[in-house]
Amino acid sequence: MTPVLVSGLPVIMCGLERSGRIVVANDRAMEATGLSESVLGSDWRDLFARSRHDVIAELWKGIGPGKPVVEFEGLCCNGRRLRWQFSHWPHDGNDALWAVGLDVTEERAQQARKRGHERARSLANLGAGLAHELRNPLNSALLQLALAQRKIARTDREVPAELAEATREIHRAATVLEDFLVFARPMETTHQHVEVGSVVDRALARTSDRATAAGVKLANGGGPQVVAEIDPARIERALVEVLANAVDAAAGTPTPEVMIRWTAHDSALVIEVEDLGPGLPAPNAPVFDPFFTTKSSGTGLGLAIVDRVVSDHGGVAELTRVGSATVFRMRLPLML
Amino acid sequence: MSTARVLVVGAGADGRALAELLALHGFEVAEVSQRHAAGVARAWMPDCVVAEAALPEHEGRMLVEQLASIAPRPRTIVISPRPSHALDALGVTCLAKPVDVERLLELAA
Repeated sequence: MTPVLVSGLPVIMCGLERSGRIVVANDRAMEATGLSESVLGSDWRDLFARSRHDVIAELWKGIGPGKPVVEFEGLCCNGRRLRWQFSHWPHDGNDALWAVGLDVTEERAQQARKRGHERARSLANLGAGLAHELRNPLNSALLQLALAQRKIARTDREVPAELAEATREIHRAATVLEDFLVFARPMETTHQHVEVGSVVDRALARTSDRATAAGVKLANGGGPQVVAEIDPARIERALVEVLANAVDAAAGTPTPEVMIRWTAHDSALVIEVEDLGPGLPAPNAPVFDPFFTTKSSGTGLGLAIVDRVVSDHGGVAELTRVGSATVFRMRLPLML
Repeated sequence: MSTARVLVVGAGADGRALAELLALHGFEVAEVSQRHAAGVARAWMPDCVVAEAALPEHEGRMLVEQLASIAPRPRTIVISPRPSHALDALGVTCLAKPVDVERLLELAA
């Protein structure tokens, strides 16, 4: 094979002397190694970390006429992952090598992502199974407490307040489990063309009782009449979660008000929920991490669920402080 | 206080606690294992059947089939760690564990 022939091939090709010096390289080799013309004359092994040189030298010992090709994969100095096959090359009567390579960076990244998803899915299944199982002992404890409370109530004795407290804690544990199951469950996203205002209206309606009870005014700041390609049920649930958080934050403050509004531009839909509550405990607080909460009664899964819903739509959720206001913002693609 | 007849299906401490709880609220209660549920229900004619089910879709459906020959069919409540709406169409109410005791008392009455 001549340098002319190898130059246009889509695979990475380098002709090497036994010393490792590159004497032939095609365009793809210059591009994939990031060394351009300077790849010629350099030591092929220097494409990889020094710690791998001994491994490569050992592999090369096994290459000769009639011997099978030898494979090697490594992270190139430019951060690309390259897979190589070495074979014997009788170059000008000398014992030389062909190194034929493929850039497998994306393939390996995809495999790693797939493994990550599989691991996450199996952990979620395990967690969901555990959550379901925990409901049995919680139920037993709750029934025994209810029975004890009622038996005591039938006597002259006062029912200890601790029993009611224990009952509340069991219900709290059940709420954590319920939220966890929602979080862990594989969620199908069913996209539909829906008018954004109708989704916001439904979310407001579902939060109004909570707002009234907390003495918080819910305000619809409105937005343009726009149709978005979203899963309305999941976005509505996410908005209910965000509105409920904002209501809790605004309750008891001098300005107990929560505002929701939306805009659409550059093919993106942005929905914002604003309150004048105390805001984030720290600017970089991991508010979207599971089990992060600043509320004594919170499960810490609400915003994690919101983040998941938004990212499943290819969007981004953020919570920021703007002046004295806390603003939750979800940015979604208008159309897929 | 209700005087409705409730058949609690499911042996064990939870079944006993539930039966006792219902009795304290004035219900007339019988406790029975799943195996004997249909026979006792036919003979005793409860107003309501409360059953525990690990897999409500399967066990709840079986229970409904067992109670099918009883007229009028008693109200059926299934308590499960895996709540499901799949039995709604069959007129079965499925409550999640840990059960909301007040709601259960309301439904049984």
